[in-house]
Amino acid sequence: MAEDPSGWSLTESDPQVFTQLLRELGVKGLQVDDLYSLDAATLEVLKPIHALIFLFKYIGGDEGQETSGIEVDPLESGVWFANQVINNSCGTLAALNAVMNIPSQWSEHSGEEIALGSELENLRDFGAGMSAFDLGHVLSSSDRIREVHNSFARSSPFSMDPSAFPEREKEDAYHFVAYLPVNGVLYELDGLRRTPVMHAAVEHDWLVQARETIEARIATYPPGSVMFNLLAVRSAAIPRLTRLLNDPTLPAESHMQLSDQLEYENNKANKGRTENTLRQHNLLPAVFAMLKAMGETGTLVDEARVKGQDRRARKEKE
Amino acid sequence: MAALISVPAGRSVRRSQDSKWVDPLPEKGLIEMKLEDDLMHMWWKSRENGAVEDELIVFPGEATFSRVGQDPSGRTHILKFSSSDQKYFFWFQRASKEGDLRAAVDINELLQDPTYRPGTAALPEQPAESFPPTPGAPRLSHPEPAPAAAATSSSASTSTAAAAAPAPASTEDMARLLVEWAQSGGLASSQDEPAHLTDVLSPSNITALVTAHPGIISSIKPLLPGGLDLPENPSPQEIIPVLTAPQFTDAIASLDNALRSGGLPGGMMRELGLPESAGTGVKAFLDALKALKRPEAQGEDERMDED
Repeated sequence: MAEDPSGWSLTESDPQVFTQLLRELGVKGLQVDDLYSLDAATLEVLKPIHALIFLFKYIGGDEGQETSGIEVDPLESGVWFANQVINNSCGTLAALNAVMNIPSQWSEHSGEEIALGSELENLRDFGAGMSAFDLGHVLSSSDRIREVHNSFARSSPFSMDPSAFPEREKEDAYHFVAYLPVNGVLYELDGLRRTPVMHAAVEHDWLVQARETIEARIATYPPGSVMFNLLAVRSAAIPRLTRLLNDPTLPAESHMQLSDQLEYENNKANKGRTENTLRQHNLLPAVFAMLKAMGETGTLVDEARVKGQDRRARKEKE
Repeated sequence: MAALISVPAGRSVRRSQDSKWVDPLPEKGLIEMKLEDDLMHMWWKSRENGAVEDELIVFPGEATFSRVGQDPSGRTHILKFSSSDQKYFFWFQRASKEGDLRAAVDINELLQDPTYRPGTAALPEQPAESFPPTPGAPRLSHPEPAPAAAATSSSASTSTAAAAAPAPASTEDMARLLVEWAQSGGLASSQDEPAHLTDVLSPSNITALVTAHPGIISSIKPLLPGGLDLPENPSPQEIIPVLTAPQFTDAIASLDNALRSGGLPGGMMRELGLPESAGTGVKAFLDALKALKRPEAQGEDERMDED
């Protein structure tokens, strides 16, 4: 595989990649999910939510206003904040900027404890008092983080031209920004900015301020000029749902709803495991086997022509 | 679970990338929508070979579906995303135009609200009609829609304005377009352009291959990573979700890219049982694969051609 000079490969901005990446870095009790809407009902199902990661890319037009808010010194505000100093790491960096600020939470229930794990705790201790720029270098020179990050790179024995993936998301095309509360204040952590940006004091539910801030930001872009996506860093769902379902005092109507949720979470986790396993494996031998089978069974010829036409038609539509 | 809606429709494409002309493709198909895992899926399916194309996941309110006012036949519709500049064109293919408006309203309502029940929304008033329509009632006649002005709703008229022909096309224009399309020869003209491997080995083709030839599973299975929770001898239903995962599309795209940009070493081709020249490009690679065709597959092939 073609190595980026930094040694960091391109990965996908897929929630299952983030979930597994955090797990392999030793983070306990958290998972990452796509967030399709910021409305109260959607957020309610996913709570507790500890951070939001806002991904966007410009697809033309004006760039809109960057952001509102006040730049603050991370060391004075107690926010852990690292700058992005190398390519291809923006998603991983945003996830780390988020989880380094999520307080540990002890729980008496198995699997529900939230903890950074020793790897990241050591990094945090090592970097105490460092500037955002230096922390960026500490992260980028961590062998363990780079190794885990790169294990999710697209596996291909060929030199990789990123343009080979026209229809799928390329992480480097996106800008990643984490939003989360630290000590009662909503912050925006964007590794490409010099400092954290302070937005609002948080009342009982930080997501109220986060939603207003993100919606206001989206509104500053001309319609159609950006594509965006939101990820939620939330408490691991399966251990909590399993415990609640095993509680004999659970009312029957909640039982139905929670078991649906558990089934959904289990299916998602299984699919994520399959996809992550495939990501970390060279799939070309299986691809060759399928292509040869198509040739041998004579099912390849006309399909190729029809599909070639089809692709041209699609291109014309784009 | 059955589709929420299924509307006979073909696709239409821009004549060229920046063209404001949109030409209908003759293939018969269906627009279908279905809720899966709380996500609205929308796709176009060929009625000729059952292949699903253009599968989209649409979030509520992200897209609108409306009639293109500039098409005098009234049958061209546009799916337009507010979150991006993606646009898809379709033309309704029911024998009668009766029901086109209902289908368009139902598709659009489902895009806005996944819980919408098709057939329940009131139909918008048609400017060309002389009587007020009864909401939801079956329509007895369907007058020719007035050109340009008769969009299905006010939001739809703004959303289509930028999309299609700059001025209302005359019937002669439309006839000329169809003749030009026919003269371009459809499939024949594409033979000089090698297909992309992602299209040759698309998820629907992989599904068809494995379903028709389950015998190949035993040779593919050992090449897959362990830890996939697959049984020792997986059935087509068990292995297809793995083989059609997006990571396979990425791997196929990287192979396509490697063949296009400089080719693959002949030694690698030899190991695959292909001539060394197969690595020189996509066309050579596909030709070499076609040459693998076993004589005993001949009868089967002929049968498939008749489908």
